[in-house]
Amino acid sequence: MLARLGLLALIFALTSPPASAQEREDLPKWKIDPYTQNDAEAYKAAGYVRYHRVMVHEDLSVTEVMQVLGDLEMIWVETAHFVIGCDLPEYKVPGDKILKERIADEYARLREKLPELPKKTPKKLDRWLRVHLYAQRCEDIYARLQEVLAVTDASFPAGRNQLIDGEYRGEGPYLGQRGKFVVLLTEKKSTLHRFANTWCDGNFQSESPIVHNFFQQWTLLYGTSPQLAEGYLGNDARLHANLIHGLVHAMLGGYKGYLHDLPVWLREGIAHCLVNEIEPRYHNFVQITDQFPNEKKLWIWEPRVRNLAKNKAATPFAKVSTWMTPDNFRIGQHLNLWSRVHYLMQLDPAKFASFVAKMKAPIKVPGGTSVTAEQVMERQAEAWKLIYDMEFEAFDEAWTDWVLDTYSKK
Amino acid sequence: MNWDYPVYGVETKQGETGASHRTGALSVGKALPYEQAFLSIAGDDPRPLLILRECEHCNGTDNALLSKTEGNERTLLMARWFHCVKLPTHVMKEDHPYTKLFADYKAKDVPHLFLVSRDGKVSTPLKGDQSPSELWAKMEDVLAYDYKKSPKAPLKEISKLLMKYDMLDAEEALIEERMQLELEENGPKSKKLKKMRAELDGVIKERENLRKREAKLMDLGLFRKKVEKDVVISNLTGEEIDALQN
Repeated sequence: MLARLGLLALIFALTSPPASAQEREDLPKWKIDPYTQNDAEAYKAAGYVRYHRVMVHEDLSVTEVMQVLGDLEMIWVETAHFVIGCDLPEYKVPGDKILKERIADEYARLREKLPELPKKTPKKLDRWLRVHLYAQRCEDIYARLQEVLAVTDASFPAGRNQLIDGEYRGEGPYLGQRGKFVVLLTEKKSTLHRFANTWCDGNFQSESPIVHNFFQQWTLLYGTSPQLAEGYLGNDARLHANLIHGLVHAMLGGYKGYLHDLPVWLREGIAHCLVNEIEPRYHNFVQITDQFPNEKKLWIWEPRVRNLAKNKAATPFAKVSTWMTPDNFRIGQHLNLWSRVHYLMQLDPAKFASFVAKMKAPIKVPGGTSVTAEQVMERQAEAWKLIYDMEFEAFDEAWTDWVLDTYSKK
Repeated sequence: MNWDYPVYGVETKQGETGASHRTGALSVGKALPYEQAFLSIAGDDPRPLLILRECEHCNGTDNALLSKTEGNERTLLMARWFHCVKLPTHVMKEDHPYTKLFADYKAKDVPHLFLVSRDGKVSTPLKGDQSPSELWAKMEDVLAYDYKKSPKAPLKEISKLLMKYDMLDAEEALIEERMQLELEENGPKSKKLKKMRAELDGVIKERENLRKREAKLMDLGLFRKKVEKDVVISNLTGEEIDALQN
């Protein structure tokens, strides 16, 4: 009997393919990842949780999203900390040496996770390869920000109403957010705008990326497209820098749960520092009135700040530290805030992490009201005293010495 | 260009804090009657409509509207008197809420662009391969229906203003860059800085004056500054329209 059952099982196995293979056959070709064949074991080994059937947040499925966005060949993947929707087209890597080297390095790391990738870095990045590269970039910046904040996944609660080490650190495991960070990378800007019109309160500007807080779901979204900024983001190095900048802001917003924003000098400063580690040629800005801040050699910031320090032309930190929102910011404000944060981050990374943590701890406000800018400034004074306990003038002197010692002259 | 990207039946809900927020589109799953589709797209904007249907070929660009060789400035300027709407590629599917806007056309004749008066009575379909002069003439026809003044004279004046804007923008960018570099090179006490700041103030003032002049020129005077929701020409009775809208 057992032998007959074994035979039946064998026949069944031969005539009926495994469920995943059957599912693969049902999928259109563009949905099949050529590097994992959508094999769960292969993509999980590469760090993915699932392909295609993902939730944007707990109340919004990809099926619902695609009903509105239409027949786009949008690839949806879920990684450890992100949900990514991407319909970026194939991309020919341009003859930019810096970009080529970076992509070659990223590709080599990717290949360790996806052994089916060809050995040699391709000159053209196909649609799935772009998804894999961007997924890796997202997870890279997540890990780097965790390092800056001196936290790990274990630092955050699994869900609501849980304290960690007796401290409130948000509503969920993703830096304190309940939902994974959502990233949209769309070929057309109209796709982003249609999404924003439907699910983000119509809150978008024609040439800017979309940022949205699904506050009931404790989920933050960042969406960008090569068509934005009148096509300026069409180059992969620029799009990458733009994504990192936007994600750092979103993740800092979500850190310990999105209850209030950090002052712009601090969040923009951290974003500049982390973008500069990857792509210092293409700075991004929460706001700037200058028309061409990255042109010619203007993107090389160290000698510019060095001159500001040397000529006592820098804005005092007493003023920089009051920049809560970017009101008519010009490049001067960005140079000042970037360098102050750059200094603080390298001076004592652990102290810097404590400072940001203190800044993002909940500020008690009466029910139904929001945290005000004044309350954030009060928190900052308290956190500065607690962590750094240094007069601003003394801080400026120490910063000036450091800049003159370390920043390049050219 | 400032495009609108309408999605039918976006739901708005009151949040815990009392603020309203959008939660997503109603699942319609069927084509709306022409009238309802038009009303949904037009919304509360009193301007005539310029409706562009995206297709696989133009791929999210404005190619069906703009010329590769000439005259785009005039087209872009004239488009500011329209409520510009982009519809997605899948609008041609038979169950898309807005598909009836294209129902009167055979597959090969489906227009890429529509210019429509705000009451729906004047409708001009275009295939996307029209010449700029043909497009402008059609735009003028629709504008003449919805606005009191002709756009011709203002267009000439605004074109001149745009050239001045370009010059001022370039000048401002240059002064700002020089100021920042001067500050970096010679510190805040530099005498040149004061002079440059005065130059910059002059540029800013001039631009303000241009803006006021432009706003005046742009006002062609809409016949209907407020729109009623049932002003679209319709074969439906008022009750039927009410039923659709509720």
